[in-house]
Amino acid sequence: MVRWHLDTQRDDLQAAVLDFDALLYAESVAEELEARDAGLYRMLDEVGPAYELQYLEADKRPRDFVIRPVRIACQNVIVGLAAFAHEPSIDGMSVLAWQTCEVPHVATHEANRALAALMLCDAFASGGTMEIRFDRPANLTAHGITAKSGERVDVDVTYRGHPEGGRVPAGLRRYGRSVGVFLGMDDIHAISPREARDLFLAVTPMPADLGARVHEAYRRGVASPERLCFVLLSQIWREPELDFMLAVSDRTGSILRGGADWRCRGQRQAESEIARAALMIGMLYRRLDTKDGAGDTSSPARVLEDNRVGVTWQILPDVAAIRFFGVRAGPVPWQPPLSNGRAAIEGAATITVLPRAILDSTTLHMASELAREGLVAVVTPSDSDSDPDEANRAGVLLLRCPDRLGELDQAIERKLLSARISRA
Amino acid sequence: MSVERSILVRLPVDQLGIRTLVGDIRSAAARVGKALPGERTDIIRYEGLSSRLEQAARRHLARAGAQYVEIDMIDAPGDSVFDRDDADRLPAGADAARAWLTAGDVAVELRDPFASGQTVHSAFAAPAPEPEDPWEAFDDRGRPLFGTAAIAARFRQQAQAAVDGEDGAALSPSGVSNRVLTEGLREFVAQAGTPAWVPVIYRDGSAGPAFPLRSVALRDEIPVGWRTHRFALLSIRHTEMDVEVDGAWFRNTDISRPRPAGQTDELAYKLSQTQLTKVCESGPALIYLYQTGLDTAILGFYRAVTEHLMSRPDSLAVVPMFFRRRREGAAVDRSVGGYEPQSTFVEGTPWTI
Repeated sequence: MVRWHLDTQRDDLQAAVLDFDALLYAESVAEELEARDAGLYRMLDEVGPAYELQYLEADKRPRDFVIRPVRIACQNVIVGLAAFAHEPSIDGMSVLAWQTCEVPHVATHEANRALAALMLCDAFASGGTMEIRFDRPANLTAHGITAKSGERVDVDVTYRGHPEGGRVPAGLRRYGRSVGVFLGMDDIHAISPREARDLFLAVTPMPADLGARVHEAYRRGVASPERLCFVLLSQIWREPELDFMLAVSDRTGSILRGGADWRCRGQRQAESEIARAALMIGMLYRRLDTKDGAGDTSSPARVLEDNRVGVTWQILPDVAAIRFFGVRAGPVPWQPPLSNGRAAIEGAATITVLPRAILDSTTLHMASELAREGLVAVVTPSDSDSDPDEANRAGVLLLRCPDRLGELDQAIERKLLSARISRA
Repeated sequence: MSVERSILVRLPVDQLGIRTLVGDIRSAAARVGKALPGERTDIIRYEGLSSRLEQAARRHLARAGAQYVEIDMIDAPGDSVFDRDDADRLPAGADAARAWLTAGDVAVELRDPFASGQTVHSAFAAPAPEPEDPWEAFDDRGRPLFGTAAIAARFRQQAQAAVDGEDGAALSPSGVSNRVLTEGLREFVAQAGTPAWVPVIYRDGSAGPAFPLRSVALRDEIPVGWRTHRFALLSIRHTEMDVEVDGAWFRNTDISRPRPAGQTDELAYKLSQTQLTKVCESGPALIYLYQTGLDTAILGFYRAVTEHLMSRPDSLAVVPMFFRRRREGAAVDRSVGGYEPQSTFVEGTPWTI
């Protein structure tokens, strides 16, 4: 079962898999639609208003055991609604609502994928076994008048699990089938920890190389698959950053756990160098992969909607470098002025970048060797006193990341703290 | 794959500011020990200063005539700078560096994680653990338990496994409600049997200090005539308790910082040890503790209470006070000091001998 669009500008969105069996597809859609009204009522008239009254309007942060509504919208169309809570009595997660739909302007199964990603990240951060149950009872009580809208809220209800009979929602099972993960097989009312692991890996977008490195990393025990997916989905470390770290170093496991003890300065120094390099290439990637012309005076308005260029990357592990493909024509960003003027590089489709805290002779030699094959740059922090003319003479571009070394270290410290206080 | 390389660079101390920088690094390191657990201001300062020195050494290395020696990479505690006072910390094979230190200069270790070569992966690396098994609690008749009863059953099961010394078993207080945690701990502290110091592991993977279970024979009676104090567990957390209490046991600003849970537990434990000693200095004390559900603070406090009772049995009694939700529209039928309390509390089982 595939989905054909009558009107789309992107060929890669055509023929996306909806299901692998027409009968299963029809059955699951019927099952989903049968419970839709009950689910919508639960979300829109009970869970939503109760949450608004007790947390949103009270400016209060809910604890993980509170039933929390989640809404996913794309261009003013709501494509996904769900409500879930950590359930200490099973040391897992309880899902009480799950409503998704397919719309023409959103990729096939995207609502289920995005909701599943949010739910799995929540399950990971809340601790527990990663079991996700759809049949747990729950009470919801809220009485009062919302402060802003003045709406009267009177909710006093007991739920007996998800409206689709407490089974894993049909839409989610259908999405699972489309990516080769069969959900509810161990127990029709739950996603088992084993299935949750497979689903986490399926919903986390990863280019093929990174996917292979992630697989190799959890096979070697660098980190659990759940942690690696959480790191990516919560953007503690972004895709090119994690790819780079996994490819070039054996210290990535320690970085993902929050870093070595500060007293072991040698170890911390090595980890800092790796993390700084990863952070700089992450920033450069985002700069290269955006059409956003914040400084473009020719355009009257700054457009921030889907402005990605589609730059891809490949890590060169033996020289600790990254090669970007599909870079737009124009000046390469972050170039400092040269003594003979600013180097204008036009139409650079591929660029190889060596991220380093300082441009030393070894790096320069390595970069100039690579420069025989194409455009090569070394990226350093903005307060590095490396000489762009010296790099230029070696046939290499010097790029200065906008952040100074201290600022990079501050950003790394925040990432390491996030890693330390998320679960083991 | 790139490999890591380590070198020692000779840095002349007559260069501007090097001597001061080394002094600052050492002083920042000394200050870290005085900070609260999880407080990283001095650590960040130490790391920032160390980075400055390492960058200076990298710049120096680029100059003609710079001296360096390659050394074996050892991930041991220590600064990246070596001077005459800690020459014995220099790794084997760094004889040249010893001579630099004797001459009054310093050696700075530089790590280059991006040298060419094949990355060596840790020999002890093991695959990631398998997914966990689902967990469900059942009563004596095999019916599934829900809500608080299930949470209590889970905590009891973990505690029992931990005191029995099962492999990998530990107390896991994260997500366990205030009352279940306090009463559950008390039950196992007072349990007869061989005393057991059980590990405490939080949801974030951090470990608190071990908790002494089966260590004290607790009684249920509240002592009469003892000096009485009423404390909220945390300041500025549930201010509606203020009318009931004399003060707060912990300052919220110290406890509620983002840090690994095990460090918060350790901080709460150490503060409680000090404060319990002070409170009991001039005779036995009875504490009514108005609790909030912060698991790390509860563990830290009751670990200190247990140890205090082990060493000074007749000096302390603690009565936990648990918040009880008032029914919607129910009238308040009491006042404290002329004020109408906004919350009601129920007494838990006392911790005393």
